[in-house]
Amino acid sequence: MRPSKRAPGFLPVVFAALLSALFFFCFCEGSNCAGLSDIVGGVADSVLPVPAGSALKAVVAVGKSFQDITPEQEYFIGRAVAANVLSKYPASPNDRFNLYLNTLGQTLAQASDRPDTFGGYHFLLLDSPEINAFAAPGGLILVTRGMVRVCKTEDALAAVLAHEISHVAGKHGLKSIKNSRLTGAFTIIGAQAAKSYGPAQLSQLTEVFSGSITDIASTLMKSGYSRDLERDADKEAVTILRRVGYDPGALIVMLTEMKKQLKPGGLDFAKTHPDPKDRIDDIKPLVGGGSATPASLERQKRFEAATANL
Amino acid sequence: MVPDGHKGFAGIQANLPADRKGEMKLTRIVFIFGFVMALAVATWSDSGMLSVQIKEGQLRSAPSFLGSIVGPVSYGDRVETVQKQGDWVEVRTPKNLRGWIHESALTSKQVVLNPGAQTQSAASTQEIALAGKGFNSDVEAQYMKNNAGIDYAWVNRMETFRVSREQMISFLDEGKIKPSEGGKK
Repeated sequence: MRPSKRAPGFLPVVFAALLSALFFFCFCEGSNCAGLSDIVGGVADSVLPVPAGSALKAVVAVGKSFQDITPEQEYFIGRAVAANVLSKYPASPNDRFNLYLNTLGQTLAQASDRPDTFGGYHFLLLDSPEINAFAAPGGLILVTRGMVRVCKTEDALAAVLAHEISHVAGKHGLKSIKNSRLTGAFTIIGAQAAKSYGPAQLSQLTEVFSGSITDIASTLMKSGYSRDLERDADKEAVTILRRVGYDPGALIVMLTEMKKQLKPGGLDFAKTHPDPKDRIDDIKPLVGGGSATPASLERQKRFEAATANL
Repeated sequence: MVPDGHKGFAGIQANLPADRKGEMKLTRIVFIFGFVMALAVATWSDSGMLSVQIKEGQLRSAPSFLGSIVGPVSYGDRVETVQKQGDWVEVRTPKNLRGWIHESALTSKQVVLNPGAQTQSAASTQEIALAGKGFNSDVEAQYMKNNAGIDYAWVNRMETFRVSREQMISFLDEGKIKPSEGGKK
């Protein structure tokens, strides 16, 4: 925001605009409301000078929680989180499976409540026997070979992916960034109008960025989300599976299988997720029992072909 | 392309007697009234301009993720709301392209792609989003420099994995999967 020449004749306009803004924020707190600029845009675009000082305050005041992270910034956070996971778990260059995984995953993501992220949803197989899956903000989703092996049907794999997609759609990763970091970031962001930052600001911002990545990566790989967030992700997964036309009961089948295979005290999903039994109890009322029988021969055939060499 | 809200404002403005222009107080009141009315009309009719907040998006012929693609929109594009249905918004672009897009691709803020030059024209900072602000490619480059052990090669590669609408439709058909947007079992 650059200060511009102030035309004295427009003081009333500024005053009216401020009052309207006040009105606007009193009655329209939700994010779904038409923006103020949409409404005053027609008259204000060319005539309304914005005092630089108040503009700065507005930016700082408005940016205070993970909800204020723009999709574009979420994209850069997600890339760094995925790169961190990939520095611990190698990617699998299994093109055939990665194509299958992306076809399934991106179709499911389209049916989520947030199909459009800045850079879109992309999926990758990790070459690890560990039973695990990671959803980086913005839609970069990584699934281990061990996790795919737990799935006996395409519907079960769809359930795993739908759960991860739900973490992205619900911005669960961003929620694990410490609030103190965000306050710092938004102060720097607010204090500078230009797109490019000076060396000192860039270094400060990178420090906040780096800390945020650590917060998320350690939540994904070490501490895990709260049971509430996992429950949310399971519920949303059921919705996605239903919308696309998969059996939502496959989530229960998958969790039952996982319960059998996870070793208590293990360093994988067992560590970062609630007990599968608890998760089953939470979603059973939503989906009923679920059946392990493949839904169709064609579907099972392609699943087995894609997973043959894992 | 003037949304209804602006029309409402223009109507009130037209009623302003010319000889009272100099009277600050009254002008002020009328302006406030005008803004409030414009706001009310705009909110009531749910119209307005929105911006595309994702890198690349697609307008579709129907409010569904399987709707055929009408054309592309990209980051910062301003679009006008035509109507809403659930989480889907029918919009019109300045080039008069009309189609449906999921609301998660849109923001009521104005996305300013080149902050600096255009920012003067925005009405309120709270209503604009400066592209490239905060965590951006410069920050990423600096982060990479500080963390030489973290390799982005696979991140870049996985971003190239894209599935088209046609691929999705044939994938669903082949697997005998019938989408039900309504959430019926």
